[in-house]
Parts: sequence; C-alpha cells; structure tokens
Amino acid sequence: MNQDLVITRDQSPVLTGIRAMAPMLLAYAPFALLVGAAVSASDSPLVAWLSTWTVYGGAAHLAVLDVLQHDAGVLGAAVVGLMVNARMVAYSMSLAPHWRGTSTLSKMGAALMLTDATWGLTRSHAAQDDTARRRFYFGAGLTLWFGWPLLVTVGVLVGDWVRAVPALSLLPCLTLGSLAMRQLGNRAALAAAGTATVVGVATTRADGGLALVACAAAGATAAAVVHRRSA
Amino acid sequence: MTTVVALAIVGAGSLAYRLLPLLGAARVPESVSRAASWAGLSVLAAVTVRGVLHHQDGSIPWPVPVAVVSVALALVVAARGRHLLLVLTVGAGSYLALSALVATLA
Repeated sequence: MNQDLVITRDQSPVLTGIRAMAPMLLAYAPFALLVGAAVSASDSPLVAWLSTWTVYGGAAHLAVLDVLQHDAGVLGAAVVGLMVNARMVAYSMSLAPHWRGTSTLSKMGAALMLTDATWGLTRSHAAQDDTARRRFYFGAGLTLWFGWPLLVTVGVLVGDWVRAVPALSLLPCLTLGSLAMRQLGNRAALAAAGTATVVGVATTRADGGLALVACAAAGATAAAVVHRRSA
Repeated sequence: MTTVVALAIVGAGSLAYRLLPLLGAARVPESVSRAASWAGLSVLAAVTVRGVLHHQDGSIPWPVPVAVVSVALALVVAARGRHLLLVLTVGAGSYLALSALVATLA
C-alpha cells in the first residue's frame, strides 16, 4: 500500500512540474531582482509591481520601465513592451492542440501562466498524454506564477546589488539556452535554432522586440523548409 | 499616469497574446501549431544569443568572449541531458574561472 502511494506520488505530473520549475526559479532569481530594482525606481512602484502578473515577462517589464525612465512616452513604451512579448503568440499557438476540448477556465489559467520557462519546460517534457502534459504545465506554471512575483518583490527591496555580480546575469541565458537544447531532437528544430542564432547575432544591435520577431520568422521558415524536404 | 497607461496597455496586450490562441485552440491547424513551436524554439535560441552578446562586466577585459565560451560549455552539458543545476554550475563556474584567467593575463 505504502509502495503504491510512493509510486503514485513519483508519477504525479503536477509534482514533476513543480520539481522541474524549482531550479529554474533559482536561475531566474537574479533577473527577477533586477526587475524588482527597476520597479522600485519607477514613477508608480505599486502599478509597476502589480503588472508583474499581467506583463509576466521580465524582459518586457524591464524594457517598458527603462523606456519610461528615458521619457519616450506612453506609445513608445507600449510598443516596445508589446514587441518583446509578441513571442507569447507563438508559445500559445504551439500549446493550443494540447488544450483542445478543455474548459475555458483551464485555457485562461494556462494563458495566465504562459511564459518562456513554462513553455520551454512543457515542450521538452515527455508526457504520457495531453492530460498529463497539462497537469505538468500547471505544476510548473503555478510554481513560477507565485515564485516570480515573490522574487520581484524581494528585488524591490534589495535588487540593486545584483548589478555588482555580472556572472549572475548569465543565469537566465543559460536556463533558456538549456531549454532550447532539449528541443533539438530533429533536423527541423536544428534548422530553427541554427537560423535564429545566426539572425540573433546579425541583429544584436537592433531593437530587442523587432530582433526577436525576425529570429522567430527566420527560424520557423528555415524549419518549415527542412521539414518539407524531409517529408 | 504615463507609467500606469503604458503598463496597462502592455499588460492587456500580453494577456491577449497568451489567451486568444488558446481560446481558439480548436481552430488552430496542426501545421500552424508546429510552425509556432519552431518560432518559439527560435525565440529561446535568440534570447540566449542576445543575452550573451549583450553581456556587460566592467571588471574584466573581453567580457563577451568569456561569456560566449562559458555559455557554450554549459550548453554542451545541457545537450547531454544533464540537470539544469549542473548546467548553471558549469556556466557560472567557467565564467568565474575564465574571468580570473583573463584578468591575470591582461
């Protein structure tokens, strides 16, 4: 009986998702502290902090606050933020087949928790079926949904010291790069990542949002060509 | 007021980005979903590359090459399917080691 219980617990997709996300929270901590520092320096710290849940993307959040600090105006800040977060459309579309036939509430919950880490983890997770995949997603997603704002809140109080340790700023890159590496299981995926890397290097000096859209378009196109040839 | 309006627009837009494709899940064709997953993978790769190339460290010479080598070493570990914590340790550890080496040589 006890053994059965242990096996059931070991196989719970929700717990697996929580376990998978936990080390990512650690890796995201320095970035979250930086976002928190930007939130505390904002004109409206409370609104900037509350938007941690709605913007729900450190890069976009940081970019909007940075643009606002340089007096670029509402439109400039909004465009930059929306461009940086445009990748969420691709993430959401790629998850859509796994949410077919589920309730609107489940879809809304999934949408609220969607970001790079939850998407990357779920894509690279080998689930038995869509139900298990969704449970894994919610385990991982809830962990980040509570953990990220908590870390940003800590950053509001003590975030500035992170700038003094440059090695920490590489941790989010390592986390996302690691998630990308796990998905390189076929030629199409290799073509997507390879092309995006080349375009990413070529557009290093371009605006972040525009560059990411260009990388996404180029990577998806290259993968589609490779996929068609191998089909 | 500017901050409130800008963050409200970005927050609402970001929620729409996430929610609308999922709400229309039944209508998203398999081919579009597959292309979107390639686009997502491309974004992950691009964010990694841009993050490394924008790396700043005033305490050492050549911070970007040091970051490139460190991240490359860590991603080799990731490609072998090792745990994320090991990947992070290898990346940060090699960055610190290379930083010390570069600082000594400079």
